[in-house]
Amino acid sequence: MAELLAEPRWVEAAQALIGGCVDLGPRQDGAVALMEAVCSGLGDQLYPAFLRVLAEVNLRGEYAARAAVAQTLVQALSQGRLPSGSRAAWGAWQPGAQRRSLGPIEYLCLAAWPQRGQADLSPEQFQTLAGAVMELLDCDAEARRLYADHLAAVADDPLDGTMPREVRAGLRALAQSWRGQPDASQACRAFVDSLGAARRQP
Amino acid sequence: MIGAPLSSSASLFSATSLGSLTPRGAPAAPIAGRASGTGWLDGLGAGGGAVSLRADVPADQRGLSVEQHAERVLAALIG
Repeated sequence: MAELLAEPRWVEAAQALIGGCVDLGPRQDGAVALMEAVCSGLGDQLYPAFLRVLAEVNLRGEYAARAAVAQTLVQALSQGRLPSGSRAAWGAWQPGAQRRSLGPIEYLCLAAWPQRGQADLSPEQFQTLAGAVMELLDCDAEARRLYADHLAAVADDPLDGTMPREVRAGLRALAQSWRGQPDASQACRAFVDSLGAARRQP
Repeated sequence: MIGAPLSSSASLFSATSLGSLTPRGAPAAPIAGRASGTGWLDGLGAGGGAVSLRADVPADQRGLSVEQHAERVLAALIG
């Protein structure tokens, strides 16, 4: 099993991902396969490291670099090959229980949900990371539209019992906000507010 | 110890304290100074979000295979 370095070289990894996407062609199968290979190499346990790399691309990348990665993500999404990580499904506490494969933003949404009292991500951490990934996707209008539609579909999927009701409602709020305007911070706030409102309900 | 791998059983979402997303071009809060341990979010946004990543591909990295590009990414992250 892969193990994260004590001091991962995030910027170097982000530059290597950008270089790979550019070299292989941002809208080509090769670049999508590169993201799949990175996520496969990391494994489910280290999938969040991939999300950190995407955030580094957004925070430190020039426009062309961010656009190359965003275009690869939209190509992946349109092919149903979004680089994904799996988390235990709702209500599944036992080892070997059902797991659900999730794309970057929906993975972070589930991580922000306090499943057993405390969430893996605080609201501030969620806004930092999800906001960065969403800002990256905002580089490409098609990416934002497609991903927002995807999130709305995940939220409204009546056959999927792995996503808790509160997260579905938050995802719906996030998708609606983001589809309306390219403001990642506002969309993330909509998710956090929705989750907070659900927790205050008796 | 620098370079030593963390236990893969530890949650990557552990022991960090972050501020909100730093707007592009704005001075970053000293996130690393507030973070505890070696959480995977440590240092995110540090450096003011200065643009340092380019879309250029060095000559010696052009034409690499998918696997070779993936190995370059993974080599910076895992041991």
